[in-house]
Amino acid sequence: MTFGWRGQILRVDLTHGTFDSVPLLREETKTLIGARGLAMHLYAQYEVAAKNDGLRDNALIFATAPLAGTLFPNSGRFTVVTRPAPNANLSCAALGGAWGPELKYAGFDAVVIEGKSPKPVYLWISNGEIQLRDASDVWGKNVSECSDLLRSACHRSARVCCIGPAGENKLSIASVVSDKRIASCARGVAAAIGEKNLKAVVVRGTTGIRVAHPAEFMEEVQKLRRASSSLHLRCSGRKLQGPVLQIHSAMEDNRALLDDGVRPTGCFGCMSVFTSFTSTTTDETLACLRAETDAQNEQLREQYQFVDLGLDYVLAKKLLSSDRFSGVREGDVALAKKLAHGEFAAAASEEIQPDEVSHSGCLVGGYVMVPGALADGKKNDTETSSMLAAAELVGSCAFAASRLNPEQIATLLRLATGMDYSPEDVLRAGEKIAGMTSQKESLSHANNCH
Amino acid sequence: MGVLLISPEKCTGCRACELACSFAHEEEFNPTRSRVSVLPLKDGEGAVPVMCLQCEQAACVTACPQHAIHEDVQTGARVVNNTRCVECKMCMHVCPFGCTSYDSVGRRIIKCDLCGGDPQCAKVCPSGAIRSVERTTLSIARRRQAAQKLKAILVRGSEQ
Repeated sequence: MTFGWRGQILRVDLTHGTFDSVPLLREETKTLIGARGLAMHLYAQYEVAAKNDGLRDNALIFATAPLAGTLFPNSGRFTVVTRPAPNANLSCAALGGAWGPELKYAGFDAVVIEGKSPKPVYLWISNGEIQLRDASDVWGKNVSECSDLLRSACHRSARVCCIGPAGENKLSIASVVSDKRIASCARGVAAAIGEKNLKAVVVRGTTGIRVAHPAEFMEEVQKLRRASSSLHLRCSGRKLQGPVLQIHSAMEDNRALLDDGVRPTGCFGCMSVFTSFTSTTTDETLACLRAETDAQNEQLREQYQFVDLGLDYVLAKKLLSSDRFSGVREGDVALAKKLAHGEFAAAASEEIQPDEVSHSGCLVGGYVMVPGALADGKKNDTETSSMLAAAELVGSCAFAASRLNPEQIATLLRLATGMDYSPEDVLRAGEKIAGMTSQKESLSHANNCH
Repeated sequence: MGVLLISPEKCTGCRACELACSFAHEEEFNPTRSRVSVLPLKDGEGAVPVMCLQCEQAACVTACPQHAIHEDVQTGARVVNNTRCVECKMCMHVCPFGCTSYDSVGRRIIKCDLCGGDPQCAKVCPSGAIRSVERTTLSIARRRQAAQKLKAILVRGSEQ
């Protein structure tokens, strides 16, 4: 399991402040591959083990995927999974950025965190050296300040995945944030992290990912990349709030010239280019993404301030525009700060319930583009949904999925891991995950399918 | 003979160049063993890929007490002969761009060697921030950009 995968899972017990690492087993990756699939599989294992030991615990799983951190297009994804409440379905927050690849460079495919720390801590992973460190200096701090402080304390190139004050106060609309700006709010995930008194997971890795068939892998991945680099995406969907756009479909823009279109910034391995966004509700078309840096920053300013508090921008704005806050004189940003720090917590939980599955958005020009087809479980058709899910399971993102087919994914998986994955395996894994999202099945279904 | 043309305004910070480089030289994906480094600028303002600029009068060549760095006449790159090298790291001290580094896994000095004439970073860069071009093309591309800017200024000026 040391090709593509790193072959190790880090386990942390916050109650006792201990940790160990165990090998990643082939059976754990066979059916659902990696990221959300691996996390859900591991969750079931640890839940059963805890029950058998007579414990009531809720594991928190950070999982990456076999192609994450390689030259596979858009290969920076990882997923955070937990159960938001007893008997509830698992919630999955999918994120991009460099944190996932960094975890793999540190030598791990996943981190399983159990228990609850008696005091606020952060987890520092530096290759094989693991430390649970006192987080009292960063507890209560915004995402950006926390990230900067933790990088100074740990390593200037370390990657930080953390919660803001909103997660510490266990708000339902709190987000997990990676690389300061990449945020995802799935029901109960950030709250579960806060509940465990965990502020952040900081990672630095200097070991490499190897593949089973290096020359063939490079040849195939170069072919795929060459085919992808001229593809520009014309998107359509819904404007959610301010600069946040929910993308329901992304099609190849044949009319675009090679240099036309804007690339997102921030995510590891990103190859996507976006040329335009058309709203399906208002028919407005944004020639997306031509804004100059200052204009972009201005447009994103409010959204960034919410993200910095560890709040989901769309859901928080929705809450702040509800009747409960009508007549309140203060501006949204000031209210958001209070909200994140625990005021109105009851209102937040009652009125807004995030989805179980959430994806972080792409920062493109002055907009945040969130893939919508997975987030709300809508199906265009089964194969599209399965492909979107499958891309994530191998470590790539929904926007890359628009130009991938199961054969390409299976080939690269085989060449990277040296394991037998067929295009049918890939599609089936994607189908299972996509099916869980829209039909709200629990994990026991997946377990029964092994 | 080719050189690498860097256009930082096109860099998105995807780090594919780091991966291609480490893979080409060490057969693993490991940004810390890459000869090129992508340095992020202030939040949201993109990034810049930095690698050895293959100086004509290279400080590293002059400083090396073992004469272990020489010019490869085929590619124009300044290449380290790791057999002669004693890892004194003088090259690291004197390089004004910090582009020579010490690989602690392989225990040797590493720097961009233009991949023997077929730079892998340029092959994977999705946005054209790193391109491998002929030396003559290097200046013509920039001159063309300058010409367009000059034209825009002069035309605007004559219209007023």
